[in-house]
Amino acid sequence: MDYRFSKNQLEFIEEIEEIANNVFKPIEEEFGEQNYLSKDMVKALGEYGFYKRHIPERYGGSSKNEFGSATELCIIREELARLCPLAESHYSVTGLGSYPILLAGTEEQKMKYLPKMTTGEYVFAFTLTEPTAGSDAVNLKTTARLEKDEWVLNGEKTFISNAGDADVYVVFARTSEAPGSKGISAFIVEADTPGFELVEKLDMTAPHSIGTLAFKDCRIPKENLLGEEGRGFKYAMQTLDMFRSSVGAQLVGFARAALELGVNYAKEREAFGGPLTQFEAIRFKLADMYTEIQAAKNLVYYAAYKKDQGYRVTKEASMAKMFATLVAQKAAYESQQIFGGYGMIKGNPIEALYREVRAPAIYEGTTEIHHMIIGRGMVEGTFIDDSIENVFV
Amino acid sequence: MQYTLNAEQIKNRLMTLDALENSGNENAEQKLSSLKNSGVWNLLFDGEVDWVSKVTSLIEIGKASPSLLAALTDVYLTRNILPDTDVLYASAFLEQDVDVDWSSIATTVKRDEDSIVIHGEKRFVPNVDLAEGFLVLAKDKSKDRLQIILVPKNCDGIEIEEQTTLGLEQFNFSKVTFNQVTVDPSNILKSIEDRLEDHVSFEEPKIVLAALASALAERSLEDSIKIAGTKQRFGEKLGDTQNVQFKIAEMTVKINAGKSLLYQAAQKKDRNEKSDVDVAMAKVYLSEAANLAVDYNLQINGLQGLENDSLASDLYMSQRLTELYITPSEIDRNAIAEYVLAVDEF
Ligand SMILES: Cc1cc2nc3c(=O)[nH]c(=O)nc-3n(C[C@H](O)[C@H](O)[C@H](O)COP(=O)(O)OP(=O)(O)OC[C@H]3O[C@@H](n4cnc5c(N)ncnc54)[C@H](O)[C@@H]3O)c2cc1C
Repeated sequence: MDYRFSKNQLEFIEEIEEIANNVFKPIEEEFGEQNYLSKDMVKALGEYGFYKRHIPERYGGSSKNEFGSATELCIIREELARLCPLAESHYSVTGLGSYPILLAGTEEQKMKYLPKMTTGEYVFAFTLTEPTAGSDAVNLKTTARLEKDEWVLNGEKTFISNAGDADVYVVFARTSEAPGSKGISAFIVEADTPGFELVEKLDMTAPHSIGTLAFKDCRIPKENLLGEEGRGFKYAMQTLDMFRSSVGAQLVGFARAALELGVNYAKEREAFGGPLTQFEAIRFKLADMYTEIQAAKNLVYYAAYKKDQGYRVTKEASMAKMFATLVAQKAAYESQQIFGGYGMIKGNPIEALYREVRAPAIYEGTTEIHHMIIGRGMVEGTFIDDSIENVFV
Repeated sequence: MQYTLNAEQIKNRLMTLDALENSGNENAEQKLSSLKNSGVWNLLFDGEVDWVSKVTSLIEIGKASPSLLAALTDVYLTRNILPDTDVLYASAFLEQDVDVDWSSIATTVKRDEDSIVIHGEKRFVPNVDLAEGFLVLAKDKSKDRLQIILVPKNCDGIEIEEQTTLGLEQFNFSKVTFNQVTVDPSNILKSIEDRLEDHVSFEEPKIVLAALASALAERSLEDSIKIAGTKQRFGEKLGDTQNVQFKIAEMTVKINAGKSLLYQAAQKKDRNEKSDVDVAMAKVYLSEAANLAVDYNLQINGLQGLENDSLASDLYMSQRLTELYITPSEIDRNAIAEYVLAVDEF
């Protein structure tokens, strides 16, 4: 048992830190908060090789394994979230959007799309949620009908990150009335396809490129079906299985940033004749934040480790994402509380962070859905692992 | 990175499980004696055995017998002061109103010609029936320092009275009165001018308490899962209701979060790295996770959980010690904060 990063991983973390501070942060400072993508950030992420990391070499990537490494994904997201949230979101959304192609695409599809993803030339979107199907995504209504050599898509999608900015959308739609997830298939839709349009951009608590999309008799070539017909939902879940622990990592990064801001401010700010750190109430907040962040980090990298070992990680990734979300939200709240009124002023990093940590409790499974998944799995016994080498419950 | 036990650690875990199975229905004291005579004792106290193995065994012991594990807490404390002995001693440190602030110790030690005389009343002395003597913390007022003195149990002037405390039925504390007890000056084991914590490590007893918290929480979770899977209400299995599912999810995640901290502390000890803050974090987190777990479990059990001989009520009452004993959570939180405040970048 050894929770430490390897020497290579530690060197990689230092490398990310340097690039984030010297390249990404200045772009973020200039860009501010907008509800569209920063092309400069996408370009910089491409140039510095971030999009390549989980893609095999033959598709323009630098990964030695076929489907990337969950641990490395977590490392990148944690460090970027800590230092430059804009870079983090630009990195992760394209990763999520293109991952189903890596998972299920034909050789031709992979050769067509992935090399351009690795350079930042193509930006991707993961297009699942609908106005009436969020947590209950299986209930999606968008349809895809095969007409001769074309699929015809009709329906609406909402809360789609990179909507209006992405070049390629991986879209999940119903191809048959088969029950549950069995009637859902995945498709590749390019941005300029007739019948495909951006309905509106959404203004969120923490601005982010996101919006609502419509498919009105949108015709795509038959070859744009991704993987097998009827297995689309499975690809969506496999993608989320890979990315879920990394959402947890992103939250650990946010929480670390919140703690750092809180600690440094508490040392500087004077009240009642001394620094805020003289008060036990403030010290206890910091002690709890630090403790919980360590634990969240352990659960995140445990889930990633298991994923990289080839296990299904429904339980571990749920635990990591749910716990890290709660920890980061508390850390941001408590740190903002330490800042008092100054923490409420726009331009103070803790103000932005406080808003930034909110959305992850909603996407990639709400906190309630993760409680349900874990609770159910434990009661039914499917999540109980009593193998002798395992120390967790 | 590696999150599972290696072959040696698995072997140690199996040995512990084996020994526990053989100890059957013995009470905690008998179990402690059996443990002393088994290979597990070596595993727990041999400096060569790694802490990941020790923590794993401690949790298994706690799951089988929480009282036995509670008794082991003090064995780690006293062996830290007297490492090279197989004799069992009981620490007599605490007093009425003295549980963390050692400067207020009222028990005195005085020089009287060729001997020393100890006078005072100690509380919360564990393992009294098994111990052959006490390690007494007393104040030498003439030199304004604390001393730890070995006092054999058969000395004149010692009175023992059992204290009744909440939970852990087979684990008892006693009030021990030292009435002008005389021993040889060579029995002074430590003479302490500054902080007691600099001379006596509380780290290992705290690991035991964190393991006890984990064990109590894990048993609560197991009990809740059992009830959730079997009990019916309004024609529905309890486990099908979200309120029960959510409680079980929270227990699961918090136990694992806490265990990860405990194993992280163990790994640091195995690498001889400074681990006091990690141990404090593990103890605070796990003892509070256990608080939540025993409470949720009792709620899931319903009124029946309030019956005094139910497992749920047993676990509920036994958990409280873990937040108070050796160091209360407040002291640990301050120690963690002290560390955090010395760091600039996280
Ligand atoms: C910033 C952001 C980015 C996003 N990016 C994407 C993206 O790129 N692609 C994409 O496809 N989607 C994306 N989403 C959508 C996201 O996945 C959904 O918002 C999410 O699945 C929840 O769906 P909903 O908003 O419709 O809420 P609902 O499903 O309507 O849930 C509402 C409330 O009910 C609770 N609830 C629902 N079902 C249950 C249940 N069974 N038990 C208990 N409670 C329940 C929920 O927890 C929540 O509190 C994004 C969302 C946000 C906020």
